[in-house]
Amino acid sequence: MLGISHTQCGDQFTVALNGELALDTVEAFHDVMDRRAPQTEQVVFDCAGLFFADSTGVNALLQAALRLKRRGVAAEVVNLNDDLREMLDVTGFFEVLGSA
Amino acid sequence: MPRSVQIYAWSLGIAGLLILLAYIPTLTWHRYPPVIALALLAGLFEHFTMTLPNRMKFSLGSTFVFLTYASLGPGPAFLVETTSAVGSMVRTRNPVQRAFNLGQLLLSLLGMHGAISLLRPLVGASPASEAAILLLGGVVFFTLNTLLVSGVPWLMSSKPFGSVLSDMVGQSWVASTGSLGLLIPLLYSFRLGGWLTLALNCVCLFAFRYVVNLLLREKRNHLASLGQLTEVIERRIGGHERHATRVSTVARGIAEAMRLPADDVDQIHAAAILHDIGEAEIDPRILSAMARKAILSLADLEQYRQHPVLGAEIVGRMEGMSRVALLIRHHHEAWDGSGFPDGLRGQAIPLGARILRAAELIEDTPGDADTRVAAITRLAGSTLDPGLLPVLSAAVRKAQSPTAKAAALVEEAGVSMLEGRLMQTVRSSQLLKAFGVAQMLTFERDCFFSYLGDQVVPPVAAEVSSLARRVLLSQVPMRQQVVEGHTAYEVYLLPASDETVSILVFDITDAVAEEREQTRRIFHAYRDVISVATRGKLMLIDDEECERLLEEGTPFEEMLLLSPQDAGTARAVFHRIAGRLSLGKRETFRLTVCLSEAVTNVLKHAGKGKVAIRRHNNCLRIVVSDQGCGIPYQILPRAILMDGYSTQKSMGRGFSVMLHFTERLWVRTSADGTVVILEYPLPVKAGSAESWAPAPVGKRLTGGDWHAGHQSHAVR
Repeated sequence: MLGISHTQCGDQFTVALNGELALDTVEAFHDVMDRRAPQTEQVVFDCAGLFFADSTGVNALLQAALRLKRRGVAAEVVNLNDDLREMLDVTGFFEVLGSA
Repeated sequence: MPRSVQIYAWSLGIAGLLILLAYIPTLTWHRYPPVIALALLAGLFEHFTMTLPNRMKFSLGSTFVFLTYASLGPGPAFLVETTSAVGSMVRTRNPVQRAFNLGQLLLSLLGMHGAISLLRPLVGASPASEAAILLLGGVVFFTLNTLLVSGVPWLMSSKPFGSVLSDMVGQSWVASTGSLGLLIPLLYSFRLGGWLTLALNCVCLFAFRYVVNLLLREKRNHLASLGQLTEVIERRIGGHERHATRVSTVARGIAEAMRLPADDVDQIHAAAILHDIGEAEIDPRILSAMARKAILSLADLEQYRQHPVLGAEIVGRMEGMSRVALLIRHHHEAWDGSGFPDGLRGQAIPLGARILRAAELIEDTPGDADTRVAAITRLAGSTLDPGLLPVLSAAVRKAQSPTAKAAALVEEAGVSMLEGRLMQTVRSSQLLKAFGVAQMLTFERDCFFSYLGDQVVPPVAAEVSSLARRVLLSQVPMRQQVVEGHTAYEVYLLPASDETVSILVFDITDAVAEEREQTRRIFHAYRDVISVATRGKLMLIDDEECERLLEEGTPFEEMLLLSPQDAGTARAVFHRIAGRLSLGKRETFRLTVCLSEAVTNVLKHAGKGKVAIRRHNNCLRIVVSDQGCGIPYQILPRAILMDGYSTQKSMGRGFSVMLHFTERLWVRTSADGTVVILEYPLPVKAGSAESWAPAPVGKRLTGGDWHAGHQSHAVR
């Protein structure tokens, strides 16, 4: 299951992810990112409630962040737990996002 | 151009000139301005003519000639007709054709004038009778026009005049009726409203012509782009280039000759262009074997026979093409029900599909028109609809141009020479005889004979005679592999006559063994490389080892993977098991990631599969399997070891993530599917017997199809 909520505070758009990001939930994530394309200068993915992501989920997050970056929007992932941080490290998430 | 046609055309041209010379002096100066205006309009409409789907030209030039005749009299009408003819002459540079066109039009107009002059005294001068006479005159004009034009094809071909005339009427009646139909409203609006109304009407007509032209052009472009796309696909799948284009020309010709409605003709044309599009989904090896006219194995033949179904599925997904898709699905059905894919019979096969079948057979038959007609006559009643035979024969004769004839002769001679040489080479092969790997046999009256005429008993005699009887019935060549004990044979069977089958039996045991050994060597090379590169963590295993691993230990639970939602269910159930095993949060996360990666691979690449959880010697094993087409060995190292690589569009890190989070990974992959086995040593406490309480037998869990596995007493 994946719950997605978003809030806008000044020039920062926050997407809060709750639950699991994997093959069965990435569709919902893409839907929200496509329909609510933020018009702000900064987007924050708040992962405080996210407790699982596999490489498909990480890839969804990466693609969304890369799309924002191409439009000149700064994307940031915050509040990752240790397991998820390791997962993002292993899949090279930060490496790809940093070099894009 | 034959002399007779030249004489005919020039005579009409001279007659036209004489008519013009006789009538022009009758014009008075004050009539010139309106005549010139109408002549310009007629010339303009004649120049911007429309090409109808049956390739006939449709202009409104004649309507303005009739309008001039009714408003200003015969002299001005001849002048306007001349201008209109000049308008159409811009399209032709041939002086004979120009003279003929002008002459036949002026003669037709003279005929119309004669008919109207004869009829006018007989009826009153009321508007209704005037309109009726004018329309009747128009009919006379078009009748004479058709008769005079028919003279040219009649003189140039050996066809009877009646048949030429009927073809001509069939092609021109739409344009003639349209021109006459517009005459009356244009004439009366001109009389009531004068030049301004006529000008407005002309603007409307030009707008109408523009819209119709756009639609017609759209239709032609649609068919032309379909044709071009198909040629690209034909080149890619290595079929006969432009085969579809040639079949579509023949099919359209047949449909037009049958006078089918224009929409049906277009649908048949589109279906003919796309009829073999399903071949893009067939194994290129099978298509190349078909192109070489090689004999197919039963399995390959079965796959090839799916191409109409696949083609229909592809085309059916295009908007407004469902009728076309139906014709494609049935283009290999036979009149007697022996075709495929549905074995439809007689009138149950859509007419368009019957036409397609015939067009393809005509296109595929080498030789001159007589050979082709003989071939389709032989097939009428079995493969082809016998009712279509007359129109098919006519289409064959029409399509047979001198260049096509020459090409067909060359092709036929080449093929028969090659066949002869090949057969000679096979018969004289000392090598085949020396190795004793091949036997050449004849099957007749349930007995086998060597090529020297002695009766013999071949290996696998029972299977070969059953295959030979099948070939005798179907009269279709066949290729099949037969195994007897440890020996494998490849058998080729060719129908030689209604009672005889020629057979070649090859002993392929050594070749098969060599191929198996080769595959084993390749497998071991990859296995060693991958094992070293992963420091022994990932082991490529063969079928035997995989079977052994799957039998080890105790199955705990298993689940079918059918949709992306099942990935979520699998994780949820694994969490439950991890809780029962008191696994730590970090271990649970790592194993869930591994399970999720393997399950996602199955759902993404194979569509469906199975996941099972087992326990062996205090280790947890997650077994994920599918029956997809496997991972080819050559991409295996990259798929497993390299970051960012996948055969699908994703990060492709499934395997590297699994390798990071698990202790041991076994992979078996072949054309029958892939099995991934992950092993994780359980903490000593978690391995105690009490913690392995299984789920209740038969309990179904939400979202997926989990079943409790069999439990041994040891773990209860």
